[in-house]
Amino acid sequence: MREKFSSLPLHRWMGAAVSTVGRGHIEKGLPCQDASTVSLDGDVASLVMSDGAGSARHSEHGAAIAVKTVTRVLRETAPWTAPEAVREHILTACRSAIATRAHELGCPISELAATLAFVAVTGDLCIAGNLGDGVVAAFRGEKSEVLIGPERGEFANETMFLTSRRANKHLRIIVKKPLDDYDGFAVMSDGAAESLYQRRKGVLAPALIRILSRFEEHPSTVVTNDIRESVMSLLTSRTRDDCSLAVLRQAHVDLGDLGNKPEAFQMEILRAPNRYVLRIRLITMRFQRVIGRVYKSLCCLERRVFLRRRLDTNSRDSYENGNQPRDVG
Amino acid sequence: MTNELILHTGDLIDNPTPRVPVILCLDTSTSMSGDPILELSEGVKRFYESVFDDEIARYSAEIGIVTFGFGGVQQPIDFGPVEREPALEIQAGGWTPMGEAVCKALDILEARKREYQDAGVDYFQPWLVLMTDSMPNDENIDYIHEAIRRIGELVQQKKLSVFPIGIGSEADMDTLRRFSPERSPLRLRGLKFKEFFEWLSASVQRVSASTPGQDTPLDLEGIRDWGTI
Repeated sequence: MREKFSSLPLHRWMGAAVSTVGRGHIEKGLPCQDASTVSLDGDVASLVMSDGAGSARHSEHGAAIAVKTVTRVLRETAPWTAPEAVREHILTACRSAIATRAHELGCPISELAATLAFVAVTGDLCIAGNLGDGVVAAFRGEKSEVLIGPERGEFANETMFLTSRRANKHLRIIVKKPLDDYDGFAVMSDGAAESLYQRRKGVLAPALIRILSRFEEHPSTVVTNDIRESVMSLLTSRTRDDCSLAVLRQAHVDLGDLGNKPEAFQMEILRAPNRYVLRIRLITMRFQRVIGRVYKSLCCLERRVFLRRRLDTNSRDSYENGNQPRDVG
Repeated sequence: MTNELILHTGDLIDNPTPRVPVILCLDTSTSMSGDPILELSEGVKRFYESVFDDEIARYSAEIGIVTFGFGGVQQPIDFGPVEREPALEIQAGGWTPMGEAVCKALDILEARKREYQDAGVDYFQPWLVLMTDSMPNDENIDYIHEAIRRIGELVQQKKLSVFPIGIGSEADMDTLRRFSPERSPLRLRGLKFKEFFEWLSASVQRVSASTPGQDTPLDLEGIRDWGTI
């Protein structure tokens, strides 16, 4: 019971993922070949992004399959105690799903070539993976760091794909336990990285911190809309490639402050599907808080009584053993 | 739902544009005297102008020139970003030290690639355009063997793309073929230098505008305007 009350303030993972078609693709009549998703299912929060190869005819299918498959595998394999097995599981599942789709489309699997970048959190640990030229980033408050950077060949148009023969040698996976105070993550395609990641020094743009800070006040729907409307228009104006950005942030909210936040934010934090449920949950939580305080006071009282009794017992024992206080005078 | 998230360009990062390095290795020997050298010079200037006028290629293409013939092996223009009107003066004269010129062109490309790597600049596979109207006659024949060996290695490792072009009927296509293990040499029709360089410029523009992971096949149809196999 004590743990339940101490879970206030609340810590909730919130996320957003947006993929936008690039200018170069629009001019050539190509679809968006990037795919990205955020999943906040049960105990596992994950971001998965895949960038379909420009040279592959059906790479948008490859990217969509990769994102869906890897989200499922990350959920199934949590808490990722054996990273090698997770790597194998991801590659086998992706290749099998891609091969099935390639068969349906009547083309070789290389026509569905796509990169992969992901990060997932459960409890006090996280897993991150990167195959190709995407970027996986982590945040601690206002500080950002690259968890796994891009891998490219010598030339600008060379990278690794899920369908590459040596994909298992190039899919880099790391598991962090404990979570190391990370309270935010981001994955991005190379198109978005063009403006958000400095290749030479391997540092991240301040824009990412600003985007993540939106989760302190706004629900995921608003942040997703912000990224789609404001961030992506800027990013796609600076590259010809498709752009994908997916972000995850742990919101820390004190129950006392929750009432001051927008209603949609409260609903997301308390996982309330509608206003009525939100009100019931708020009332329940306030009630729990009152009960918690009473419980805590009772515990304190109980402890005081216990200590007093022990003190009394000790004093009486000392007296009976002849160690009664003497009058010095 | 209002959108209050305004990002400034200062919040973003400017990465340098990936470069497309192109080196032209041009025959300026005595046999190029007269109209050929004038047409070649015009064609090269047209190439610079056309690349410069493309808003993407202007910032990504980097062009260098090595000539062999007049004055031996020379580098009339430094390898670097494209200017609209390069100060290019080429004359015809002398022998055809093609092997030495190719070795020098490869040295220049290697040095430039190292500069890109040091500065954190991405780059595409470099292009070497080799144009001649005769056959190599280097004083030191080792240069020819060395050039053929180095090109062979780079092409095999997919680290170089070679465009060998024969000018006129005297061009030794068999020797040119030895300089290009994968792509067959093409013969320029008449003095269609301008058409060739326009095609080359369009090809450079396509690579500049390509996105990572994308192959850019050559415009084979366009070759018919200026060349024959």
